[in-house]
Amino acid sequence: MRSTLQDVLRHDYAAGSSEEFYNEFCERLSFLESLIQPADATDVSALGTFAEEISLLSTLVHHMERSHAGEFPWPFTEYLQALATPLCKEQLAGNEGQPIIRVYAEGGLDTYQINLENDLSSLNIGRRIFTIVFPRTLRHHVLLHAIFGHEIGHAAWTIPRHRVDLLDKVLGPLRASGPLNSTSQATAWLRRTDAPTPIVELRNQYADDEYTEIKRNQLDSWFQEFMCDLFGLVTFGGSFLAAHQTLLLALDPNGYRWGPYHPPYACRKAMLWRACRHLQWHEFPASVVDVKLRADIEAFLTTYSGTTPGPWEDVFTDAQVAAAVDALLPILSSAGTPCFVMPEENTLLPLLRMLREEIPPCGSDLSGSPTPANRNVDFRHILFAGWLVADELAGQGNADGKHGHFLELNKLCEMGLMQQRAIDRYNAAKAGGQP
Amino acid sequence: MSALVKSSILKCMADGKLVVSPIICARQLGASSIDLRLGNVFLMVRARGLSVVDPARFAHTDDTVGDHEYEQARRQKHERYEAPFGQNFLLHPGMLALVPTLEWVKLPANLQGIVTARSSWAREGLSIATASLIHPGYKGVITLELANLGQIPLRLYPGLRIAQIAFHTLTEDAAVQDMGSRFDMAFEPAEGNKAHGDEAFLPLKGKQS
Repeated sequence: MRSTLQDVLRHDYAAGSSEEFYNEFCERLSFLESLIQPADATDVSALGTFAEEISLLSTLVHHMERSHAGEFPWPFTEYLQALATPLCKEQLAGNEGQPIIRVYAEGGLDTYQINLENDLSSLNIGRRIFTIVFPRTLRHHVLLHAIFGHEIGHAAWTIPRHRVDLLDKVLGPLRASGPLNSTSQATAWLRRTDAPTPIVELRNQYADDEYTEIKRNQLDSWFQEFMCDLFGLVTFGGSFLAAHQTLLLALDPNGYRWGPYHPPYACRKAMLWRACRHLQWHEFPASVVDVKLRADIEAFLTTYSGTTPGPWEDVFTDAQVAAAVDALLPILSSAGTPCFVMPEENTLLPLLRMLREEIPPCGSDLSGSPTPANRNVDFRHILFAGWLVADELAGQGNADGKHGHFLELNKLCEMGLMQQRAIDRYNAAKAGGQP
Repeated sequence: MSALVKSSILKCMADGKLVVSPIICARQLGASSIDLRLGNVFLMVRARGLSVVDPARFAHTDDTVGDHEYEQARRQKHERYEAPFGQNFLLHPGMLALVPTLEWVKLPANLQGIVTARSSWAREGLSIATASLIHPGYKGVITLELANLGQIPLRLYPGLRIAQIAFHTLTEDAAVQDMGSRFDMAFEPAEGNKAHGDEAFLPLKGKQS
């Protein structure tokens, strides 16, 4: 294992990024050795546990090897870390333990993950490894990476100090009433005669009562998904809606498939529609005077959060969703994770102009002033501008005939994020702060 | 044909005809040029088992899309490294690396750009661009061909001002059909096709000596 660990250092990683992980791994390995050496060779149970731990370490080494610089978009990752890390600090032995962050790329289109190690007890270790996983083939698709907002929710769920509040205050209202209130009610809901056609077809396809019977664990998982969708919405805003729909419908074009862990997309979208209305994203302050911008944002929200949901999909009331969102916002803000705020017109319009002119969107001053005044722009506003233009291009039926326009748009946004990092860094240094 | 001075460069930018984005500080604006910063991607040319520069590999490329040998030869020639801001890259003596600028550049039909080294780096042996002409209508990052002609390694940090671009007006607008190139909308350095239009002088695919 040590030899494998040393071998992975042959590869190039972003400078310094492998050191913390390497040291942590060495500590864990030494601790494990100290347990194995005195162990009784006939203690099958203990040996089995050690084998599992060794296997886990072996997986971790593989993660490190997949962390080559260039395998994932580092500017996006830096912004994501700043958003997620405060929330994922853990209270360990009275001190806030900063997690060790590993970022790597994996195969598949739906491998987006943020994982925080669950159990620290067996190795008696002090720091969790916090893993961010990108799908390698979507390396440049930063607009889709807004789905990480949902994954932040899963990471937060693993932290005991957040889980209590999430269970009581966020999931509590959602679970209090409605068709998903209990497993028997959920089963009845899935078997309702007024269910949409794709549901009926799926029921007919698997003519087995077992298939439509919702189990306890299944319902718990579904609610965790609903909660994580709210995380995504309040952390990434409109970009989350678009990324969520694009990715989920790519794998389930009807949006009605359900599984042991995930409820039908149609129900998730219905909940997000109610949440958007509660957050008043459809309403604009008087300062937004650009008529086209108002129309574009309205059209965008209609496309990705929908309109009044059908009676079967609509599993929560306004009051339930409002209570859950209102409980979630202070959890995030008290942890130091800033929620998404709809951008002002004077922020959004320049970004949109840049994208339409095929210039990477960032706070760059294009005025031709001899003393350029570049702005700090929230990276989520860059993504939102990207999605608005993507929607605009889709509405034009991709009139330019370029198949790769969505990829190019993503690359422009990816480059915009990189340039924004440079601007942020310069502005911070100028203000006397740390970049 | 004449070179633009600072006020003319700024006017072209204010009119939206010329884009160099972002210009992070006023110090980047020279009397008749704009300083360009080092980007974050480094394509290092490395001698490996299958590394070779052979124009014949680019000839008759219609049937090489997805061709294993062609793609492998192309990919093996360069090692790609990405360095976030605050990190660095060592350019060793004799080494060649393709690096993008931090800035995105868009030229109108009546301007061409000339990229050169900043003198402070040239004095250390850093050669910046051997193909320094940026044609009218170009849009994308500019690829710098970095070579260390000195005897000691150079430590390079993304974001540093390393090159400069000057602009020359043309006698008239370039024709649209003459402006396109495979490097347009370039997001990072890429290998150029050294055979395009010269296939008559190259052996057929599979017949390389």
